[in-house]
Order: sequence, then structure tokens, then C-alpha cells
Amino acid sequence: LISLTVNGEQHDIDADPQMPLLWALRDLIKLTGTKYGCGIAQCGACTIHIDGQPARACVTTVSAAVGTEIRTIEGLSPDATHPVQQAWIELDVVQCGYCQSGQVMAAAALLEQNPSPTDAEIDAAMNGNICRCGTYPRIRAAVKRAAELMRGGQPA
Amino acid sequence: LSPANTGRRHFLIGVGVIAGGVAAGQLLRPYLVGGSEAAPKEFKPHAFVRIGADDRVTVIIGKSEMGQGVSIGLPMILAEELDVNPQRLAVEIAGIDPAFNHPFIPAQFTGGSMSVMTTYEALRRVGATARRMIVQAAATEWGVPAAQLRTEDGVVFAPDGRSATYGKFVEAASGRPVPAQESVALKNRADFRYIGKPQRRLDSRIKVNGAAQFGIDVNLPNMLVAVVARPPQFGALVRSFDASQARAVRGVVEVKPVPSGVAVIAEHTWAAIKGRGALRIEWRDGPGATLSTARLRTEHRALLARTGLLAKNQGDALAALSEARRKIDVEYELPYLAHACMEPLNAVAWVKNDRCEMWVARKASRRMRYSWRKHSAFRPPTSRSTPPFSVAASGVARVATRIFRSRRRTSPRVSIGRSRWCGRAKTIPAAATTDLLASIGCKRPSAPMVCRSPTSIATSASRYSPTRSSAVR
Repeated sequence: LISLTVNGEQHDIDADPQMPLLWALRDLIKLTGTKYGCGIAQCGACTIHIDGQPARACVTTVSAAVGTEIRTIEGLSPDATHPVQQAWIELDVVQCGYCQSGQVMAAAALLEQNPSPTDAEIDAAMNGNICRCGTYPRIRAAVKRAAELMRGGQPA
Repeated sequence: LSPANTGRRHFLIGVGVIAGGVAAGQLLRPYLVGGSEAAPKEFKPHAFVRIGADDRVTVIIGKSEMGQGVSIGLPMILAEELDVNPQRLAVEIAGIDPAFNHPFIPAQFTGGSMSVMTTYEALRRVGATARRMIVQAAATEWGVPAAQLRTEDGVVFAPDGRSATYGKFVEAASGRPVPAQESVALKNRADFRYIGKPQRRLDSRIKVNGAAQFGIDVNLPNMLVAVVARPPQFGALVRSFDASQARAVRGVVEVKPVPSGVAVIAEHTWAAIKGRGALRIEWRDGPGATLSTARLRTEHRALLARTGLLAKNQGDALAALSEARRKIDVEYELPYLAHACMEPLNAVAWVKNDRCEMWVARKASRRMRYSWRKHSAFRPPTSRSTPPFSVAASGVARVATRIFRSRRRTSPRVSIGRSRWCGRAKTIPAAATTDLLASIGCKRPSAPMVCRSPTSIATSASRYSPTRSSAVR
């Protein structure tokens, strides 16, 4: 058995050590908020945090994740109150929503490291997260709004 | 193409809660009551809406939410006439049910930018009718003429200061006859509280916390996953394949040829993908063997040289052109591209002894049904409404088919599929699903099929492909 710590909980799974973390999360641990888009780290839909850093679960092996703190979209906040989630809701960012777990996780990781990113910094950080609906302008605005909320701004 | 295609039978299925409901049949022929049974303390005057004794107002929409916003756009229209703040609504996406067919086309589908246009009037009438019935129930209970009552955001107010929420009148309203169409007045535009004003989406929250369930997120106990190795060329066929290495992959349960390629069935997605990678397949050319971008271009060029069909002829275009002061000579070419929605197309099937239930991310529910009828021995789906919120995807794109079935010795379990096959994707999920079922011996004549929507929101509808247009001077 391989032991993984996901959202603060320990999960012992029976998996090939080379299995991408994505499938361990989705199929074995049944956390389906992390999405499967391309499987080759080109779309960003499977973005999670490993020890606070954004990572693509589809190309991260289970063995590489042993001993780390894995955080998925389900663990970002207990009730969708993380500033990024609040900003996303406030600005109606989502459309189909399939890429948004990854977008939200990428944005949360960015703001963790850079509390007031510029447009260029946002674009650079979010560059690997593709949105088929084209919500990019709102994503950028919502990242800024989330930064504001993190600095103590009031939710609308 | 009769607008009355839904017929009486569907109406009668759901009519249990209201007496004298026949009038509703005349009210909105194409949108008659659908199949879901209302809970005892629920007022369900129509397939589009339910009001609970707990004041919960649920609007059921027959369109697929693919990001375009129907799950707020349609409910707010009904909410306007019902006089309920749309932000408080619960929204459900219906399964396959003729009650949700297009008014003039006997099919349930989402497309053509027609959702609001074709349901606007009906949604308003349903909302107004439900409101009217609630108000009448209140009038009877309070002994006040209905005309003296007013409503606002789910509350009925009497001139003497009494007020009560809609939920209080749910039981009484359920026993009342549905008023005739002409007797229910619609609001004047000037009185609109919600229509025409910005509304926040209702599905944001579940889409930013991972709770939204897309088709690919449907998880059932002992579900198997299948992926399909599809040909590298359009229409190519399997000549032979060696599955020995694929079968050796831990977690792989079965490898089967299917009409579209070779399916690898496994205990989880990763084993299936790994198994597919270990397949050795020899393909033989099919009808698409000589198809290429270059050939398509040549063919289209040749077509340009021919005289086309005349669609419309108005004025003298050539003369006008010759007199134009500035002439722009540009050619646009669009390559043949996949729509590439982000959620791989997929389907989940649960084959039971006497029926098969499916969860399909789709935008043309009825088409699924036709396709099913064509490809399988199961009876087409029965009318059945579905669990909360759902949605669909589709489009011309990568195809993934995901099938599953219960783990029982007598009936082999099944599968999922994912492929890089591009083409007529609208019919693929059903066809692939049923082909796969057939190939593993799941044919079971006359078993009914129930089609469900995935419990939540959808996938990229892929209406616009990121096409590159090249201008050639």
C-alpha cells in the first residue's frame, strides 16, 4: 500500500507507484474535482498543490507524491470561501467549468507567492491553464479581486 | 413535425398531484408534464417547476448547460412570472423527456442559440400559472379576493397585512384545477423585476469547489473503465491485434475488439490507458485512407471552379463591384479541425438484468435515444427525470466512451473509452457505448434503457473551434 496525504487526510491506496496522481485521486480516492483534460500536462485542468506548489497531477507519479502534502480543489476551503473562490463567484468567471478547478488552484498558488501580481505576472502564472470557453479576461480580473480580498477587502 | 408530439400519455404520467390537470394539457401542448413523481408536499403544476412546502423552488430545464448559461437564463424567465428571486432557485437538468422537446421539432436538444427563443413564452406561462394557483389557494384560505393579493419574491401579501410564503399554499394549490391559458395574464415588460437585469450564475459555487459533477465524474460501485484504441486514420479497421502485453497490465480485465477499434477494459482509468499503450494493432486501410488536408484542399478548390447552386440573386453584384472605389481581394481558408472540448467525451452505462441505465454528457438527448435504438438490443430509454443539475457536452471532438456495469459474474462488467478519433461526435457516445456493450455480450433483447444526465454541470460545448484563418492575397 502507498500512503498519501490529501487535504490533510491519509489515504492508503493499492496502486502502481508509477500511476499518475490524477488517477489515484479520481479513481481510487474518488476526489473527482481534479479534472482530466489532456493527460500530458498541456491543459492545466488537473492542477493541484503539492507542498503548496502548483503541480499537474496527470504527470506527477504517486511515488513522487509520497510524503508530501497534497491539496486538491476539494481541500482549498471547506465552504467555497477561499478568496479565489469568492472572487470567481463574484465575477461570474465560470462557464462550462471544466477547467476551473485547475484555474482556481493555479490562482491560489500564485497569490500565495505573490499577493499583488501584475497583469503580466498573472498571465505568466496562468499561462498553462487552458479555458475552452475563453474566460481569460474574467480570470485575470478575478485574480486581482482575490488579491484585494486577501488584503482585507470586503466581499461584494 | 407536430408541436403536439408529446401527446397525452406523458402528460398523464406526472399529473398525479393536481386535480383537473387536463387544462394544463391545453395550456402548453409541447411542454406537457413529464415523468418525475413529486414528493407529497410539493406543488408540481408542470414539468418545468416544483415548489416545496419548505419554499424551495426548483426549476427543471430540458437544456444542457455547457457553460452558455441556460441554467440561469431559463430559470429567471420562469422566476419572473412566478415572482421569486432567481438567485434563490434550485435548478435541475432534466433527463430525456418529451416534455422538454423543442416546440416545433420533435427532439430534445440544445443548440442553434435557440434555448431562450423557443422556451421564453412557455416558461413565462408556466411561472404565471403556478403563481396564479398559489395566489388562488391563498385567497381561498384567507377569504380575500385573489385580485387583492400581491406577491413578491415568494411571498403572498394580503391588504390587511397578512403574508405567507408560497410553501404554505403548496398543498392547497396542488388540489386546484390548472387555469386555462387565456385566463392567466403575463406581466407587462415594464413590471419585470429580473428579466433584462444581470443575474449571477447559480452554478459558480459548485464549479469552484470541485462539487460539480461532469459526465466523466460519475462513479459507481465496482465500475470498470474502458478506453478504445482507435485507428490512426479515418475509417481504418483492425486487421489483427496482439493483446498479450495489454492483458498483463495489472488492473486490466479484458481486451475486446469493438467496431471502432480495440477496447481495453480495466479496474481503473490508468490501467486501461496503460493497457491500451501495450496493445499491438495492425490496421488495414478503410474508406478514409487517402483523405488528407492536401486532398481536401484540392477538392474544395476544384469545387470553386464549378458553378454552384443559386441560393439568392439580388441586384447586380458584379456591376456594383466594378464600380467600387476600393476593392479587397482576400481568400480565407479554414483547416479541418477537431473542436477539442476539454472534457473527453464519455458515457457511463450500468447494465442490469432487465435494463440499462446511462449517464451521458450530451447536448442532443433524443439523438442518444435514436442512436441507442439503432445500435443496441435494448429498448430505448423510458421517460424519467434525473437527479439534480446535470449537463452535457458534445461537439465534434475527441471521443471518449465510458461504460460501466455492475460486478456480477453472470454479466461481464464493462468499460470506458477515450479516443483521438475525430468526426461525427454527436452520435459517437451512443454508438460507441452500445457497440462496446454488444461486444462484451451484454445484448439483452427488450431491456429498457434509462438515460440519465450526469448529476452536474457540463463540459465545453465546443461551439467555436480555435480555427486559424489564413488570408491569402
